[in-house]
Amino acid sequence: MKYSRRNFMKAAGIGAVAVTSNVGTARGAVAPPANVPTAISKEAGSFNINGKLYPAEYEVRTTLWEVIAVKLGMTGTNRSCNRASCGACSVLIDGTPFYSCHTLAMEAVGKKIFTVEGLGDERNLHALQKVAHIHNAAECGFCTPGWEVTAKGLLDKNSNPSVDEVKAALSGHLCRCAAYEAIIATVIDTGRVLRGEAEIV
Amino acid sequence: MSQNNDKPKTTKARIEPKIPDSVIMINQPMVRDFSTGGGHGPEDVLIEGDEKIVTKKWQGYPPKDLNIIGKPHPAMPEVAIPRYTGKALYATRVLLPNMLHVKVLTSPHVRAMIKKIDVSKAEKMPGVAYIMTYENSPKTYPMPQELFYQGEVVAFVAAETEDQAEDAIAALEIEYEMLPFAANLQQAMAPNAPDTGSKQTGRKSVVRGEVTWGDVDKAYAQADVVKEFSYYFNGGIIFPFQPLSAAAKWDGDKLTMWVLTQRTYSTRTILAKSLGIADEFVDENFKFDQDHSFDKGEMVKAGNKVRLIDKWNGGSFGGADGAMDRINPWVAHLAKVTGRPVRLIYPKDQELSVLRIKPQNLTKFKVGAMKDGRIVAITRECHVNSGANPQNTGGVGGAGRSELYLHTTPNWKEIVYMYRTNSSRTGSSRSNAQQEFKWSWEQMMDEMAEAMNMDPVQFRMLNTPRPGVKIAVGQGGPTITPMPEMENGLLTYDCYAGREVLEEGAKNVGWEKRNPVPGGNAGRFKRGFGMAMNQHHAGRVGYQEGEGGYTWVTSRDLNAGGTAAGAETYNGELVINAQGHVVMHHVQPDSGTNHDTSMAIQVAEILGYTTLDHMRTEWGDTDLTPVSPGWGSGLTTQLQGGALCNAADKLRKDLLKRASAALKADESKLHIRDGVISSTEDPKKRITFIELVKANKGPIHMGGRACHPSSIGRAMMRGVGAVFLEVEVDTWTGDWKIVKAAHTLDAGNVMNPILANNDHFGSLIQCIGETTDSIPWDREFPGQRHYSVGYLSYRMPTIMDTPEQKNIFINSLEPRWYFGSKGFAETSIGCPPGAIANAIYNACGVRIREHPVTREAIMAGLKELKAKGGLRA
Repeated sequence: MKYSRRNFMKAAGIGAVAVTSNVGTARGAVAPPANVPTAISKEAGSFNINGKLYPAEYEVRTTLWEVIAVKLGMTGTNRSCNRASCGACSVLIDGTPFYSCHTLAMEAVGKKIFTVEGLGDERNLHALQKVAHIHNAAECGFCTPGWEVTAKGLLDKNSNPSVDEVKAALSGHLCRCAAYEAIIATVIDTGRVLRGEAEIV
Repeated sequence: MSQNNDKPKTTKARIEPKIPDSVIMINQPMVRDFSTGGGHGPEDVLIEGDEKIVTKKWQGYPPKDLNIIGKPHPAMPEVAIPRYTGKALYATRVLLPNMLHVKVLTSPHVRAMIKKIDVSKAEKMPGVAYIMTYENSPKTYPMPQELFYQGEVVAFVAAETEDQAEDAIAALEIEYEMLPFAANLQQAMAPNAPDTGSKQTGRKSVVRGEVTWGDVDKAYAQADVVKEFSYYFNGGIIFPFQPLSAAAKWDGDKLTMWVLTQRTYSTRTILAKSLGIADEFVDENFKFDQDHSFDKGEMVKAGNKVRLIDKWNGGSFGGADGAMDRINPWVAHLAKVTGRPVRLIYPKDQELSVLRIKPQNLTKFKVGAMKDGRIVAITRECHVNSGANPQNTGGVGGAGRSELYLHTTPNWKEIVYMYRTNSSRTGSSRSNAQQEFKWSWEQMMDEMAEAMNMDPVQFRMLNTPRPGVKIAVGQGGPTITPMPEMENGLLTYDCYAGREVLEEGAKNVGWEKRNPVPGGNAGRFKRGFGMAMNQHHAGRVGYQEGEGGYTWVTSRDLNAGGTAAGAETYNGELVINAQGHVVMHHVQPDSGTNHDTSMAIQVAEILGYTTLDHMRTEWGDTDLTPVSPGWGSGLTTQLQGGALCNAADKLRKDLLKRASAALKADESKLHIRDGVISSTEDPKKRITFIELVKANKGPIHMGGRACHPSSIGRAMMRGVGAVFLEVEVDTWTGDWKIVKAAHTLDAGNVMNPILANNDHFGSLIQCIGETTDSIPWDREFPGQRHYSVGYLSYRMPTIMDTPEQKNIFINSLEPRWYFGSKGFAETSIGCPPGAIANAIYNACGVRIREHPVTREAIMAGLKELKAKGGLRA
């Protein structure tokens, strides 16, 4: 079978039915064959994004990316491959980076979600964003929100990472412009700023 | 330094814009020992004399006493900062109230006819708003019933959510009739290959072309060494990170679309014509043509009812340039018929059928040389899979040839077979026809050097033309057109740093440590060195000779040389507003190129600024910016930038004139610095730009123009570059890595070393990917069709694959352009595939003539060597 998010999600959806059936709720799922129209239940929950609660409706198969970037309109998180391969759509969930294109919305309910919008805006840039601008660590910028949140997660845990640690932490992020040198320099230098050893001029 | 300077307030390290350690700048002297023989314009002589020449006349502004150019600048905030905050408006980020989401069903078959489509189940599914197939697509722009290649569009579904659209796609029932096909080169070259010609254009299945200079057969007979070589390139892809996408909404009969393109006005014209809303330019016979060019009047007026917005692209690399031009009209139509805004984000695993790709090719050489290493004859025979292109484009033609060596090779012949096939369209894709053809050229040069018992660098040095060499137009081949500076039918070759890129690259990579015997090092891990050279873009200096010059250019007889004169005029506008900001207006979208910054640097320098603080840009919106053709080929700062420099030049003169009148001072005694014009004789006499705007009772506007070199037939200035690599091969596993890289480039005067450096890191790493992974033909059904893939199948280099790299910029001070600058970016981009193959050969003795470079290919070669006893343990 061809690997696809869709098939992956179908399997996940069926799993969800089994679980929820136990509490006696009537549910449908996307069941093969796919060409038979099916009703898919709506769920409602609150998403804690960058410290604020946002109510949203979602289906069992709905991805976290769709909730954040479509339903809630926080479009900063980019989706590229939609195959859990490139890292563009990364968000932090309880401090750990996840590919939001392959995280089900229901998995993230009640957890602390951190997106690029939480990092800093144009009036109040985070040190990581300022240093990145100096090094030109974003060329086209499409992968940027993804690696920025992962780098934030790394620096929160370790503000003095080695180059190898930075590479390991960001190895799940493709940058098609291949601005890797500048990205590495950005994370290292932001660590220096956060530790008070360097200042941004 | 004065002792009165303030001491630093802190001992903290400073993180500030600086020239990166990986950059090496080499400034060539303004005194040269060769003449370019002119090349400046129809009447002026650029350089006088023939020996020890000083450049006396510079194009407008000489590279002297510069305040901003060459300094490290972060990219302009309004373009760059939104990338870091998640606010850069890619088409994928456009989210409008009540918007529908579009999904597309693509053909799973290589070539088929749709016999029947049943949408009855799908249209009843939840959330489905509209299903479009060839049966109900717009009459002015029908969807295809014959599917010419895998991935061709079969149906679009617009629904409330993407998931619901996908559900409906899955419920469509399609009956196909398979047709005979030839998708890859092997199938197309087979004797029983089916007819793949285009009824629309009359383009035949195979087109043969031949160009020749001199007498190759006679030269082979006289040559001391004659060798034949054969190479195969399996195709290449560039994946921009942003999925191909478009969003559309209608306000009455006005359409607004957010798109991904590199040629906004051309994309708009195609859109308007396809939808039949192009006013007086209604063309009932209009057919989509990816490479269509329009004249300026058409581009301005045909799109009156369409506003295109494209400010940021998440990469495009040529491959996405105009790729969506074919799809956009259908997206717009869906918005029209549903009465709601729509957005299409193409799935990454289906993009291969829309993006332009690098063509597969089989290339054969016959080369004759004298004992001293001089090449006297080259024959190149190319078989190119040009994909589904309805025209004879996207292949070898002019750009595929390597003018680098051919120009001065006394005898040469080129034979090209272009096969139209049932596969994706080919064309520019992180260069036009470089990597895929330099793969063979640069390996051939290496193998020929070995046959001549010469060092590959020395061999290239001997066969690379020196600046000043005279060649005939015909000798230059199809990329060379008659030019105004031609004398007695001869042109002067004036690519300045052809030798220096070799010398500096060799020095910086440690070429002296190269194995004298390929694979000669002992042990499991074997290191070696390889290099390749590249020259790209013919005569690529824009034109700027004032209004008189434009009149000459645009009124010229097309047959006198060049193409599409006048059509390729770039327009830009500068506005000084009440705040004293200088706002650049131009249409070009930014794909990570940061050309706004490079253009602002030049404009600010002309206008006497010492910082970029007063520069602003308004770009990427057809309602707000003047008409221009697209950008590409590393020429944006020359073409769109040329228009803005032209405007800046006129604006400077205009401001001086205004200040002269206001101050009652002689214009020649006025000085401009940071928005203030003052008298050099009486510093009290001063007036600011803001005061001039006030006196003008409104912003001061100034337009400028520049022409694409192809509309002119400019001088033979060339960008030239080289890539030198040290690699290490693990002879037990076939793994290999680049240990050290030296990327050299003659870019003229580099505008901004930070951006230049980043560009060249990316250029090498991307091309490593093109070397190790090709188009994934036949994975699912071997021998039958190629398979569209996403990131899972195409292995892109990651952050773990960054080699130690030096970027060496040789500033050759191009005298024919503002501040001595030249086109940038693609000049040495063709080198890496050939350089990698050559380095692996030097490291372990395995010559990989069939692309791609894989572990398996290395292991197979090592096994063969071992069997022959040729592998040193």
